[in-house]
Amino acid sequence: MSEVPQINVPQFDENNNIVSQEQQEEPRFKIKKWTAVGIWSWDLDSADCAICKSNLMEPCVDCQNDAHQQHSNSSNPQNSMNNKDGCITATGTCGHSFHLHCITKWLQKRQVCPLDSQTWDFKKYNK
Amino acid sequence: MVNTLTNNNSSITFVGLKLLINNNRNYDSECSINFILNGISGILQNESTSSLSYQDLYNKIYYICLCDSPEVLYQKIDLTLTEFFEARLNENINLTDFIKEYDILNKKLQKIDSLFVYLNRKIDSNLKSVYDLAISKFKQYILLNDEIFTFLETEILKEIVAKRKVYQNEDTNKDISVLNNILTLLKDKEMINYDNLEEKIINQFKDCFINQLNSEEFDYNIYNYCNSISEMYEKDNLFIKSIDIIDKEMELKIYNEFISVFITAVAPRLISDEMFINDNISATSLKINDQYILDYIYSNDTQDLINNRYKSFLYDTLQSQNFQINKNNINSKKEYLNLVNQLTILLVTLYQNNLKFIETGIISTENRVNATLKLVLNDFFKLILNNDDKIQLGIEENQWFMVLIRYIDVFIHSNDCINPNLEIITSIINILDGLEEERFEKFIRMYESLLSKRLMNENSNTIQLEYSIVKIMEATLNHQNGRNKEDITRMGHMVNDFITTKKLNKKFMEEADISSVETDVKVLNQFFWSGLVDNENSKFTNLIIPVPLQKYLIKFEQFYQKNYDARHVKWLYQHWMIDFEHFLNGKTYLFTVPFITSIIFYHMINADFVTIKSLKKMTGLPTKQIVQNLATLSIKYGLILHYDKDMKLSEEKSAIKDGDFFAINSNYTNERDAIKINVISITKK
Repeated sequence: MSEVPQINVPQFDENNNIVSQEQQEEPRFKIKKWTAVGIWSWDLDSADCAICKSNLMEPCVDCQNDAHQQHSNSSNPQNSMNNKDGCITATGTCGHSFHLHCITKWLQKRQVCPLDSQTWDFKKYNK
Repeated sequence: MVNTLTNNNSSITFVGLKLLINNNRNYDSECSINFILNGISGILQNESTSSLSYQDLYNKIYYICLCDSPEVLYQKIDLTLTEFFEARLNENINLTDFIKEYDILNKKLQKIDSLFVYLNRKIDSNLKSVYDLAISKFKQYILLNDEIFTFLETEILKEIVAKRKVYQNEDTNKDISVLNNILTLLKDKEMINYDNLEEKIINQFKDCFINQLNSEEFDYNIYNYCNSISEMYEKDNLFIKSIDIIDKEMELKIYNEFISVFITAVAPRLISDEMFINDNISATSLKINDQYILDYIYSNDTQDLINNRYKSFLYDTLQSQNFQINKNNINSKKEYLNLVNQLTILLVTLYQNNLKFIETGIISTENRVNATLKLVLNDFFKLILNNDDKIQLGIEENQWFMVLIRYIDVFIHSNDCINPNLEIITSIINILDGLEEERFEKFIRMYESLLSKRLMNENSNTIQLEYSIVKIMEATLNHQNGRNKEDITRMGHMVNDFITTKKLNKKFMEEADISSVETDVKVLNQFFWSGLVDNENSKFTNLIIPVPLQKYLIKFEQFYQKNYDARHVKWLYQHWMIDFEHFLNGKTYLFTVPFITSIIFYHMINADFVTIKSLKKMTGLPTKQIVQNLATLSIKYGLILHYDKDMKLSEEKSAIKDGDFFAINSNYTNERDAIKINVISITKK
């Protein structure tokens, strides 16, 4: 029967991190590369732009059409990216959000929120 | 002073007139007319006439026209010609020499006509010229004779047969003036038999065509046959064009007979598999009556037959080549991918060759035949794509479209050059355009998933390639009803989003100043990358990030918040990878491991022994993930040792139980410095 090794149970701090050995010894776990993947979504109440009906996560309809035309004329993905990068969303003081392009176009006709008809004031631009 | 006499646009000088009157000082009207008539008769009857006599005749005619009565002279000539041709008819004409004699007579009449230039001007404009008068008398008294007409007609038809042979055989004697002369003579719409003659000539050509078809050995390989027809047509065309009386309308009728005999009637004999393999583009370029030769072969009567034959040809070709690919004994991924490659090349080559044949190998009017055959080709590939039982593939659920998708994946992986040849990919996407709705959706899901995987394991040189392929798909796959264009557009957005996030990572690297660690952080748009969020993700909600990594994560989150303050980020730990160095048994190794594995390994480095329970507490990981990783590290890689609850070293590959202990294998050795760890999957039995 083999000899039973001595068990060294690690110590934890209040955050469940091991505290003792790493601080005392040469680092035995040296990170060389960190590859991480995440997904982002708008921190908004609305999912869709009520003006162009597209999801707020995707470019507005105009930008999609422009990108499609550029996309058709260019084999370089960088070219068709330019417009999409600029298609951000905007939220009004009423709390409703739209593509900035869409609401700007809308405001040229009426200075109210398309959803609740309150006078429109920009609260913030979301990027 | 010079006096000028003017009459009917003709003018002579006074001196000339004086000379003329002096020469005819003893002029006698009757004598002069008789002299002229005798002269004409003499010429027509072959009596030799000196040039002096011609001069005398001309002078007398001229004088009569100027000083006497040209009308009387004209009437007398009319009478003389009538008598001459009446007498000829009664002479019992030698038919054998008639054509030669007519030729001579025609020349004589032309000669006489030149004597009457002035008379023709003086007479009433309603009257015929002397030559036309003579010809009309000839027709009236000679040609209307049934026996002569029949003889001539027979001679003409015989001459057509003989001369066509001369032209077809490219003999030297191509003189057809005799034929042309007779035909010109007979070309008088007023003649009651003329229409019949025209019809007989057309029929004669038809008989010639039939005789040739029956007497010669033709090669009925469609392209060889077309070449023969082209040659024959060119020679016939030359012959027909040289016959003066054949007008456009008659020419069309003759060529219709040509088409009917040589093409339409023969078409069924030309239908064979060989008609779909053409290296001789010019063979079908012959145009007859404004239509290409293929239009006559591919007629309403034959098109169904040809279409079906084409489908059979495609099927047989594919099947025969498919049989030659060995699908047994696939023992490795390499062999499997090689098989995918072979099958794809087989299908794509068949498609490309046939498309080339249809688009450029054959010529039809307004591409009518080309367009129809292209539909047949597309129908065939549609059938192959949507019916699994048509061809036994032996792999990928016996489905061609799955093989093609797999091929594209392999193609992208193996083509990291800047400008790869996309011809084969374009063909594959064209083929995939035949997918029916349900399969098309399956294709999109599969492609999106593979695209996502490829981008996650990204090789930066393939981004352009990915984008180019999506672009081809967008241009090709959106035409049919029921297809969702947004699916492909979204894939384009995925590629674009990926580029954006790469830029962001680069910016982070520059701003964060953490040169000791390479970071590759991708924060992707959830709307475009919804496929990334799977069930695994929800299991890692309470994960405890190891200390060495925490600082990088915090730095990045601060950086991201600064740049995008309205975004919420959700980390997908199942897609994270960590490269770390670890010193073990006298050697430093570089391990590339999934993030979850790295957490477990990290805690094991910092403890002599761990249990599932302690790991759960330290990492916040679910039991299943811990067991999976412990099994991977102990069984597959031997990096850790597995002890049972009594601290006895477990037997190899024994199951992991609660209460078992685990420790880093301090005796671990590996020849390689860099080791990539892939976690094994555990399924419940």
